[in-house]
Amino acid sequence: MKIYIENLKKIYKMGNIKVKALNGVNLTVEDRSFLTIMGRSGSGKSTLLNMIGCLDQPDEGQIIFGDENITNLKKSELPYIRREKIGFIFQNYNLLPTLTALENVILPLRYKKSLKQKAKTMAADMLEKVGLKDRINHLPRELSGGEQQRVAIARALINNPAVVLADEPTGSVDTQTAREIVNLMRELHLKNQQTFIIVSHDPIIGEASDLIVNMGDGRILS
Amino acid sequence: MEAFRSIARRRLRSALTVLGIAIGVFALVMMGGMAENTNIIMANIIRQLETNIAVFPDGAGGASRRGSVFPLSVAAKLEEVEGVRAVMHGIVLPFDEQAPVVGYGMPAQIIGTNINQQIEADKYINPHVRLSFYRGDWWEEGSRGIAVMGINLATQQNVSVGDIITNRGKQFAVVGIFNRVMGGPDNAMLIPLEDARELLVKTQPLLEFIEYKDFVTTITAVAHKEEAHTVASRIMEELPHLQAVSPERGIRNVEQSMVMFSLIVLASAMIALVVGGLSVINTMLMSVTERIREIGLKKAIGFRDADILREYLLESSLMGFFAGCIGLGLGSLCIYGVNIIATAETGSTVFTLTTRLALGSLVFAVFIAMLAGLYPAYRAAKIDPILALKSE
Repeated sequence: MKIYIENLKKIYKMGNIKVKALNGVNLTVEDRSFLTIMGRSGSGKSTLLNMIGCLDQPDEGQIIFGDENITNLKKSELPYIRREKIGFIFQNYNLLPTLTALENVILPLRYKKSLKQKAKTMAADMLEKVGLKDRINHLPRELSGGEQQRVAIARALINNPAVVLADEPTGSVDTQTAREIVNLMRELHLKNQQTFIIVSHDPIIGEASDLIVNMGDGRILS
Repeated sequence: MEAFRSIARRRLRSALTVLGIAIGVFALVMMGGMAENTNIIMANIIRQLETNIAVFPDGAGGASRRGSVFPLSVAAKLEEVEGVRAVMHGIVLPFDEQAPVVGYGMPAQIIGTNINQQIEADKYINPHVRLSFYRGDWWEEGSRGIAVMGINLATQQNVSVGDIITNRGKQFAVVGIFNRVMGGPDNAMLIPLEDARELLVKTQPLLEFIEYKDFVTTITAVAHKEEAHTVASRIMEELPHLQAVSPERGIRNVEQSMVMFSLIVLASAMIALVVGGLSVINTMLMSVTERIREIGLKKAIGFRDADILREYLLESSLMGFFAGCIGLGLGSLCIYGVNIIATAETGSTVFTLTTRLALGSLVFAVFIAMLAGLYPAYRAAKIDPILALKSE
């Protein structure tokens, strides 16, 4: 799915101070691309990712998913977009500690009635794809950091989203594991033909990307 | 099930919260059980009253009614009044000579009655409170020194069929024991009219000098319950020296006291339950704060506000349900135990656990917990996913 971002602006108020988190971002993300957004902290990259992920809405400008302008949607419609079109991967995995790996992966399908019967099989298949076939009934605390991130990747992909968004996916693991995770994401990207947008400082991710976008002061620098 | 695991995650805190509601439910079950027990007795008193028109000599009003006596010939005249289906006459006196003025439950009574009229009048009474025998049977007409007892009084006095019971120095052979009707007869000893007259004279020696020897202390005309009021007026018209009181007023009084008693008892128990509900609010708010990241994550992957709200409500309701089961279980055990002791001591039960009380307490516990969970659940549902995911 091609994503058009036009003149995106977002201002946050912190007390009396206004912070321009996004200051007119224009970006076109080609369908099936593997894109990394880099930049210093405070450059606006995470804000941009949140906007694309429908977690936040811009003050100005628009984001168009294919032919759907998601900036015009009502707040109550955003969860639907997040569930159907987007997969999230976070730096610190964000797995639910009381749920097993399998149950964590099923989570995005919990309120999708049509898939209720198949959900378990789908999640088990997905965990097999990320190499955790033998760990499906383990709780997050019984898994290593790398394994937990694999579960998180499986969870992000279970609903077959058009766009996968990752915020510092290798930020909490060692270099070796980071390399494995990047390889896994790249492999799944090629297999599933999904658009990956990753926010990261990690050169390992940069090396694996089709395109690197640099951000600073709420704008695209290059 | 995630809700169950979330509760189990903070075991001690959840257990204390559940215990708080459980104590409330326990109070509700116990107090409600007492109210239900009283209500059943009251309802049966109403059933006994509804067909009965109490008849007094004119001028005897209020407290003096109890001491009044009148000749049996009145009964014969009453039978001729249209609408009167049967006439019961008898002598009523307290079972214990020095009966306490105030006591819990119904005072034990001795009722002197004519066996034939008793059997006849019983036909017209509400079937719910019709007398039937647990052991033995009525006495033969003309027998003396014979008694039939209500089950509570028999248990309390520790007598059974074939035993002898002594009252005011006179011995009675017990020939029958009624099944429990949850009403007046449970605490009564029925004896032949002539024997009761003898006991009454022992209590009130002046009665020796009364001009008629066939006196009774109560006369009751039995009518259809719908007609009771009309028949009472008719009795007073046709027999101007009598006062006839239709059952309505008595029933109204009983009903009012039933409502008042139930309200007071249930309100106090509900206060206990509401206090338990407050601890649910506290627990759930803490839990929302602790799990803020999880809530953020769920929202990020597409959970709607309503989904989060539902999950938290489910969790608090589940706590209410556990608490309800524990409170109900403890309450049932306690009711069972206390009733065994009370029956052995006084012959009557103190609590009745009805199905509606059991289900009602459980439903109310879930309802209170759900209500208490509403605000925390709303807070959880309204959490901003971005801030939630950033929080430590």
